Amino acid sequence: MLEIKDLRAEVDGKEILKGFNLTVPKGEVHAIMGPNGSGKSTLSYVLSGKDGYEVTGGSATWNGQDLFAMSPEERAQAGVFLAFQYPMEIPGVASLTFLRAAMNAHRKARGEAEISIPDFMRAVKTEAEKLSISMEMLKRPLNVGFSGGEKKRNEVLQMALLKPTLCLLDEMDSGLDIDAIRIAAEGVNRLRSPDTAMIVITHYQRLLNYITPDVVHVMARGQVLRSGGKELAVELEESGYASYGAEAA
Amino acid sequence: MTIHQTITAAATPAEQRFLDLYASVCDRLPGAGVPAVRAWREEALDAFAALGVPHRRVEAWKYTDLRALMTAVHPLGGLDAGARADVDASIGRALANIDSYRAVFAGGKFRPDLSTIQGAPGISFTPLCAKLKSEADAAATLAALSLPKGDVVAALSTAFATSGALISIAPGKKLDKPIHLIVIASCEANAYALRHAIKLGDGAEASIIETHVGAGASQAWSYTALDIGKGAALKHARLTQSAAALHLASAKVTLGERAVYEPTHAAIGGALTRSEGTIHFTGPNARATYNAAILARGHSHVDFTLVVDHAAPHCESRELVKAVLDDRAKGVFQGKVAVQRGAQKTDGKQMANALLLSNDAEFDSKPELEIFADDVVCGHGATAGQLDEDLMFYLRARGIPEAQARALLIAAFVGAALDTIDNEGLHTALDEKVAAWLAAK
Repeated sequence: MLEIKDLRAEVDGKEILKGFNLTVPKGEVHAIMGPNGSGKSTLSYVLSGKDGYEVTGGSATWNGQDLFAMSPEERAQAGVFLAFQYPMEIPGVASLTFLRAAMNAHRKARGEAEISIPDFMRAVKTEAEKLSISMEMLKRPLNVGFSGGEKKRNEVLQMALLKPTLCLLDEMDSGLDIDAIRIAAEGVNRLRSPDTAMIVITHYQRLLNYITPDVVHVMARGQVLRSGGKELAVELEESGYASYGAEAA
Repeated sequence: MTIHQTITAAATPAEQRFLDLYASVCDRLPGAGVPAVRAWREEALDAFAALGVPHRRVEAWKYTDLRALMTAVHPLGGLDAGARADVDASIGRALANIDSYRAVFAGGKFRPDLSTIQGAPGISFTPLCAKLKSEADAAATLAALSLPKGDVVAALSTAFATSGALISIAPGKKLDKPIHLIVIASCEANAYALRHAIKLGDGAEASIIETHVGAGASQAWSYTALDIGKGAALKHARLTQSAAALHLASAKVTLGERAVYEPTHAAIGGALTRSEGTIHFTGPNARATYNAAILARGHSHVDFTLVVDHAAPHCESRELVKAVLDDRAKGVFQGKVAVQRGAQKTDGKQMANALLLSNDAEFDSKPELEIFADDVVCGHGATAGQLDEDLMFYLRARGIPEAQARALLIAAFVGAALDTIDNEGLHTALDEKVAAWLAAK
């Protein structure tokens, strides 16, 4: 279970999260919707441990572990996975090299031996096929020259291979057309399980047609202002965020 | 009354050390009893004396003040019986295992027992010292080993040369495996001087790997003349590796028309490594692609200086330098592109990128374009920066520990200069060297 209590965080001395509360039990998918500048992305960076996002109050625990006491890599090894809104391009590091380094880091943290090359290739091939990612593409430097859709599918591939238990999907639909959203969303849906909690951060309701949330939260001005079922997303799509004190986006 | 006074340049202690060294070894150098050899050496010594030990007010040595950096000259090695040498231990198994025609110089001497180049098909190989024994041999050989003007390193390498590789590849010959020139300093208290000359006949294709390994604070200076014939192609990897040694190298490369030259230079560590070169286009439609990688920490100082001389039209040059500098290390890249009159349609580009891992590391990049033709494309760029924190976070957010993430990104950065190497064994060996360097911190 993810428990966030009265979380306060600032960036460059400006408070962005202002007493944020959220509980996500295992097996559930929660959507966080909100206008631009509401602090959605900040939340994902704070939970995954990015430098420059300073926690000034409150707590966040995942299965009882204090996330803020851990480095970004320790959080990842404990099951936290941030699917980036804008995945990084890393010239000179082949996707396969990167995937193997990441998988082995997780195995090492669990006290397991490194994955053998044949096992690794088999695992990658199986998951890549489901996402229509060619092995040729994975020999190229990570995300370099990839389209927006390819980058997002690559994020889902990493998720499928690393098998995280707490997934933070940050604006997964931004910049994607409907087909690309569908492929990525199907990939995410395959990873839903009774042991996995997911937070889907999105501005639009559209993505939630593909990934059905158990709970929808409306976030604005650094706080959760309202929570409800999936119908809340539809309501927001119609009424906009204006009633939450935000400008229409 | 008029006072007549002859002014002669007095040798400072910096020059005097070399002159004294010559006086102490001149009767024991190879070919000491052969007048032609002696004259050849002393012409070089005179050239050195006239040039002096370069310092920061000499433009080409502005960032590498040799006078300040080289405060002692070790006794010359390579005059006595061959020293012990273990190639595997010196250069590492991965490099040693590359299938090649091998020419090993250890402690300033050619080591036939460790070499395999002798008698290789299509390759004529002779150690320089073998040609210095008789007046007739020497006269014929040395006529082709002229001294480039204004080149201090070439002058020292010539005056003190105890040996060197004289290699000639027959016209049209396509070598089935690389030539591996392995130069090992065997004693940390010595200085070594070698002079090499390599010639590719017209249409020949070859790959040469040079591995230079220092021992402790050993000193080495070398000069290589490389002549690439019409339509010939040479891939040339050169690795200099040591912790505390001094390497001074100079190379003059001449390309005939349609020739292709692809050098990749890597320097890992070393108290002082200065590798200067000239690539001289003499005929049209030739191409040179120069890649260089610098990995330095501690007080290392690595200087790559390159002059690309476009003296013929329709030639293309590319330069890419990647420097990783930590602690108080200093990296230098001076890249000059000269386009002579009439060298129209020249296409020359250079880029130097430095990754500074500490606040005290320094990278000096001096691009220089000298263009006397009006229909050319020339450009240069330089960057210096730190590791991208966003990339670091991306890797760490996938569970990759910080140190490993850092190593991955640094290896990727420097790898851009090594990716043109198509010999798999060499590529793997260099990757291992980079990984070992990164792990040593």
